[in-house]
Amino acid sequence: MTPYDFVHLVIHATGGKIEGRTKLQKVVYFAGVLTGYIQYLGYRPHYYGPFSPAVAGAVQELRSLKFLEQNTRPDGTTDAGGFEKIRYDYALTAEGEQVAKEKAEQWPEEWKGIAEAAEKITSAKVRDYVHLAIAAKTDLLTREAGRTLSPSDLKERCEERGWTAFTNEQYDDAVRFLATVVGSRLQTTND
Amino acid sequence: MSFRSRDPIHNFVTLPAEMAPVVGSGVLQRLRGIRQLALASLVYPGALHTRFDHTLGVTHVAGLMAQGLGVEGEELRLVQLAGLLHDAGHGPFSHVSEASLEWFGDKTKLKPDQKEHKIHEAVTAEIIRSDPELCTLLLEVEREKVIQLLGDWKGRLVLKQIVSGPLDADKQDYLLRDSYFCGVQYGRYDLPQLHRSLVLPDPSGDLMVERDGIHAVEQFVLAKYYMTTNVYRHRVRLITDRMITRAIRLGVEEDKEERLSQLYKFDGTPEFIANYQKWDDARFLETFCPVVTPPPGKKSGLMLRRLRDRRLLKEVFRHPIDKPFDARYRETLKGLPGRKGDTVAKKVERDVADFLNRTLGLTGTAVIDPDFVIAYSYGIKSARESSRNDEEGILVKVPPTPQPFTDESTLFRSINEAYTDNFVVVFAPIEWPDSNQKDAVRERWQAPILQLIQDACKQVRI
Repeated sequence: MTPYDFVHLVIHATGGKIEGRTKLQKVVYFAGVLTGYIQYLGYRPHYYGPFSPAVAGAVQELRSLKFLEQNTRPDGTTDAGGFEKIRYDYALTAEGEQVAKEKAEQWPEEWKGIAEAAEKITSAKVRDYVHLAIAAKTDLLTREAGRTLSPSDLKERCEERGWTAFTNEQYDDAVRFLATVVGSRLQTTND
Repeated sequence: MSFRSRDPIHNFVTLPAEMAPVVGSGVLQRLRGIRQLALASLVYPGALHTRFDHTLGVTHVAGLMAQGLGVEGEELRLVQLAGLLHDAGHGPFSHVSEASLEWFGDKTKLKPDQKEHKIHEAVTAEIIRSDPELCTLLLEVEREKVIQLLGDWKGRLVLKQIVSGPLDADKQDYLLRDSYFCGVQYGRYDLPQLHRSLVLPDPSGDLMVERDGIHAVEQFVLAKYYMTTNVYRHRVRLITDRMITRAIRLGVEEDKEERLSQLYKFDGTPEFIANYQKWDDARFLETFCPVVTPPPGKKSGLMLRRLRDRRLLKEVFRHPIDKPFDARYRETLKGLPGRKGDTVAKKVERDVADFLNRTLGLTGTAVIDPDFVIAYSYGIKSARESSRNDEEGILVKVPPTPQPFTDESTLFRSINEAYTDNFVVVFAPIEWPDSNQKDAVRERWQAPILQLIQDACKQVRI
């Protein structure tokens, strides 16, 4: 299975729809963490958190083969120039669903893992993509550190990366999400 | 003190004087013999510029970018060295060699930290690491840092983004240079204005663009799109690249030409690297298709002779990988150039050769050899998608948080991103009976060849 097939199956596992470009990157990130496939996805730090060129490429590939539709719509906020900000929503086409089903049959073990991961991520009910991105950043930093990180450790590492430091509330949300989804290596702000 | 060299793109390229010995080294001088755009000169006669010219340009631009962003001292030197050495691993005909290395090279021989890399990237790293002359000019610690910066860099993001990113010095140079030498205007953009608008709000963070630089970025991204559609994916250029790649494959697999095997069967040894560094375009052509004497390989020699004489294969079929191709076959067709798609490609090539032989009534020595038919696929990204390569998108510095360029640009957000297309093409060694009729002939052949391709996908899948 290639990263392209992995992304295809992750979108299929989330019901064929993912709302938001950042959310898509982070959902695939956590699906990678949960299935152990993360090492093949090439995630690296980016302004909006862990970003994988391979995942972006897979999305592009799925779209170019007409397996995935991208729809844009205003996200309800405006930028500094007064323009409405755009949200990118993704949905598998009927053909994309058909080919994904065949892949699920072709790789039953992998599909089972991906479906379980998607269920876990969805049931954690993260508030929005910003919080999901923070959780992913937090996970990436602790993964790199290989140890439990306190909020102050994390703040320091965020600054090293050029990332905006999180508020305590955002940090605690990330801790809760990670504890539910991947098992935590973090201390809450109350510890 | 600076080392200055005249350059048609930047007027002067300027490097620190202490880098002159690296420019003079064998590693860099070999690049004078490797054309930037392989055999694009068969369609754009002026496209004879080399990897060496481009390398100097990239180093110059990288230096300008770095200095403009406040990068100095050892970091500036590192960025310039990475610019100088980024193409050190190019083989004959530039990217054509990359494809052949990937095809024939043994990926299991890559070092553990190179497993995610392409073979030509590993070759570049090994040349920087082990070339005896470079070892006398640059300290080991410095060579290793250059390798990291060209590969998996863990340091300051901006250094990496100058060398490899959506606005990197490589693209900034090659768009202008390729445009100039091809004699087209598609790759032109306002380089000084682009540089003026680059900012680094956080020294350890991402390279960004000021809002008033958006138009310069739009121009740059469109230049990349136009160059891709008009030059890099030009029909004749695709054909010449595929003809060289096929000649190499025929040389290794059919003609059993040992020197080609040694050149492309990467095995991770110092001997492979040392041999690889002895080849350039001229030696390749003269070895495998000499001007006067017969070529050493029968099939590879014939294919290369066609290139020398500009008797190019003709595009007999071209269709988007879309309906009416069955959805189940689209991934197979997209993968035609790779090993996974090879069984289908070979079947298509055999069947199309049969079809053309029948249709054109070819017999005896005129019969088309399926090895000279090439089934291939390629993609063209939309203009919008051209703003990012395999990298993250360009960020624009706007309050309160930076935003993707494609959202901030009024022009680009109005472009429908869906226009990304993949095509399957078939090239064959035919002569059009009447060149005025070739479009009509292609049209007549479209349905039967499409059916042959569908059938090949179906049979191989079963």
